[in-house]
Amino acid sequence: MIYLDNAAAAPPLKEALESFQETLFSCYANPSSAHAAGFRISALMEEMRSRVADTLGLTPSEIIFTSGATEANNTVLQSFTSRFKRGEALALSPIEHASIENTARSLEQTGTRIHYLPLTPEGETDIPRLQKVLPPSCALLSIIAVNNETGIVQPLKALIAEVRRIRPETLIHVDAVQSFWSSLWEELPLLDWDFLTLSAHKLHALKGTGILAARKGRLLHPLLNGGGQERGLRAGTENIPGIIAFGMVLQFLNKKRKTYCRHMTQLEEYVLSAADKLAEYHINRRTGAVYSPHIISLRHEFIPGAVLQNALSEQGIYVSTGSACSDKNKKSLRVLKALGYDEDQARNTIRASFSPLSSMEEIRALIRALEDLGESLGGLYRKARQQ
Amino acid sequence: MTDYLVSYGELALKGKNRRFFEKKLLQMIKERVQRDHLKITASFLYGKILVHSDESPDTTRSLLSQIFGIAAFRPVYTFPYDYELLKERLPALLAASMETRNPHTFRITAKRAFKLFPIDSMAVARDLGSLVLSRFPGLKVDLTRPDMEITVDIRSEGFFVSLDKIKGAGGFPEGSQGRALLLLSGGIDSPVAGYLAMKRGLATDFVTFQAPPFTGEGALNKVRELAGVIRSKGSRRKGQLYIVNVATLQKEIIASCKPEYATLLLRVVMLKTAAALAHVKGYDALITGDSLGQVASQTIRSLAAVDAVAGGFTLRPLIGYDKNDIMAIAESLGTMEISNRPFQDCCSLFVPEHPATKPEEALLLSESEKLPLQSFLDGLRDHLSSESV
Repeated sequence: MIYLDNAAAAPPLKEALESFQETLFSCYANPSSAHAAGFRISALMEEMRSRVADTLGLTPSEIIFTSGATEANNTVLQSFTSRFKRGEALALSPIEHASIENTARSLEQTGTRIHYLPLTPEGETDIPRLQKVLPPSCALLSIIAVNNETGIVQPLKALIAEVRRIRPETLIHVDAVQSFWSSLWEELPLLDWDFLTLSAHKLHALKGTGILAARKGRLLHPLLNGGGQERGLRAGTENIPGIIAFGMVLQFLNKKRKTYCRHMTQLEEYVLSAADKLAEYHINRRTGAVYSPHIISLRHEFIPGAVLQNALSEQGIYVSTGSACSDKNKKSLRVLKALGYDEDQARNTIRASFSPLSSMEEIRALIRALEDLGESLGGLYRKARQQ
Repeated sequence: MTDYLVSYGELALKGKNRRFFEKKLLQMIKERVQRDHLKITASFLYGKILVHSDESPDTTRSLLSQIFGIAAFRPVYTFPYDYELLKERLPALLAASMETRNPHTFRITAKRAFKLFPIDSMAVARDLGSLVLSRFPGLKVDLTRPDMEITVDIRSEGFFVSLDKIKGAGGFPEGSQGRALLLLSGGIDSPVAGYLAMKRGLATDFVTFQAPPFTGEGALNKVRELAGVIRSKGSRRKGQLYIVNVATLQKEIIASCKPEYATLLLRVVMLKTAAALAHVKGYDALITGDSLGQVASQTIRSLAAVDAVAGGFTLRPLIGYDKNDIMAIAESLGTMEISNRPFQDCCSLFVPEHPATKPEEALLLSESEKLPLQSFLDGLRDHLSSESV
């Protein structure tokens, strides 16, 4: 198996989770229980919270554990719009993940006004045009730091500075789910955002855990009410195994990040140069924009992405079309079209996403397979098109 | 425990074949009961089937209302063959159900299947009617639109009294009309066509056409799930799904044939293959989800040309249905949600921009002759897999 769908879900890191099994079977008490076993678990959970907070340059009380990034994103959007006054608006980029886009769409039906941020031809937020586009009443702006389908990195520092300058009242939410391997990651703690979301399973921990970071004083409304966990912001018994795994993996990755980034950059560079030589394949990147090394979006001129995905899957090479979260969705071309690709280009796109565990051999196998498929299927589709 | 009397309407009209249909219906009830692990038994009771159920009324009613060939069924109170005892106990039975039903009018319908019973059915109705009137002075008789119809079946086994008649699924017991092979795509129509064929008494299995890598595992899983849902609507313990890989022919169509005939040629391939499979496996007919005029390949000329070239015997239960009607049935069957999942099936690949709507039969034939169809059919085993659903 050659697994190149790490932006959808990255494999749990064995090295980081070596002692996890032991924790799983010994830490089963409820962290809210007022006995020694409960206190122990609670202390362990708080230690993990501190690790996450340290990584993001925050204090532990600014970290809320959720069931995933989808819940974290929903919490931010829904808690602000529920308090919107008449005429207030929500701004987002046209290349957000479905958990932002579709939440915004559903809020729109209940009267929230939605404004899309303008993009440059390269796919970055068009900062000089923000003043024109952002209404003075814009209460919240949500931006995806690294786009999950193409890996394009937003100029977050300049964007945030400009929003603060022209709309000081507007709160800023950063969807940082895919940002760990990008150049942006180290900047994140220093930037002046209000909310930020992360997902554990995209970072080699377990599914069912997400992070919502909310800087002090930024009030949220809980989506779920109940036992008052997470300072009343997210009710429900905490997912202790997921939280512990995330803390362990994060600590491990923080140490190794630079080495791993170098490795993935090598893989990226190889794909970029090799794919460039493949007939009828094109990388979905624009000169002048910045991309995260772990995501490569590419297309064949004629072969649909779904067919490439099927054919690669038959050979044990796993990639996705667009984004895995929208694969089954007819609207899945939304992001690529917003980035200036036409319907055919978007439909013919696949996404290969790497992890530190991906090897150069695997990437070579991908390139070879793409070359073979281009030869065996390209002609057929070219003919069908010409007809 | 509750008893039910099952009646089978049009099935009983079938003259000498009646016994065969009855047996098939009983078999289907038994298979379904066994499949669903229910504590229910069924046996013949001249002209009807008597069902004893240890399950809840909801479970039993839901089961009986799904079995094809049942026109109606009644929950019955069974009394021994003793008319005086019936008269003694009937008022108590009615009193119990009066509270919930609160009827103002009633009628008695007596049926004397056991002709040796000395009183004729009209007289029984009059006799029991006056009994009811005397015990429940508030009630009036209304023969045409009563609030409550009390049916009394007189049989040598006893008296069967019922207050409710529940409509069944109708149709014929599965298998009583033969065996059919449904061409199942991932779309909305073919599952509905399969359901209607089953309802009309055809034991229906499934064949689907895949063209990997043009179609993927997602499309096949969708078909598997649809076959499972359709099969579960019938009573047979299991069904068969045949999966044919037509990728080589699909490629050949694109490479060598007229593009406006591409879809029709694929349909020729599918129908010919299904007919060959039906011949080998002993199916009496093919079923498709075609509805007249829905798309280019379903114009009357297209259907006629494809049938002429492909041969075989194909039934199209949806031919006169509007899309909205088909969708309503798909919704009620629970197949709509599955069909709507956007995995491409092999019919929707390489759809030509200008498909032929008035194809020439001779041209379709000559185009189809460009395909290595015969050698494909000769080696069908290499392109075929099958699984239980």
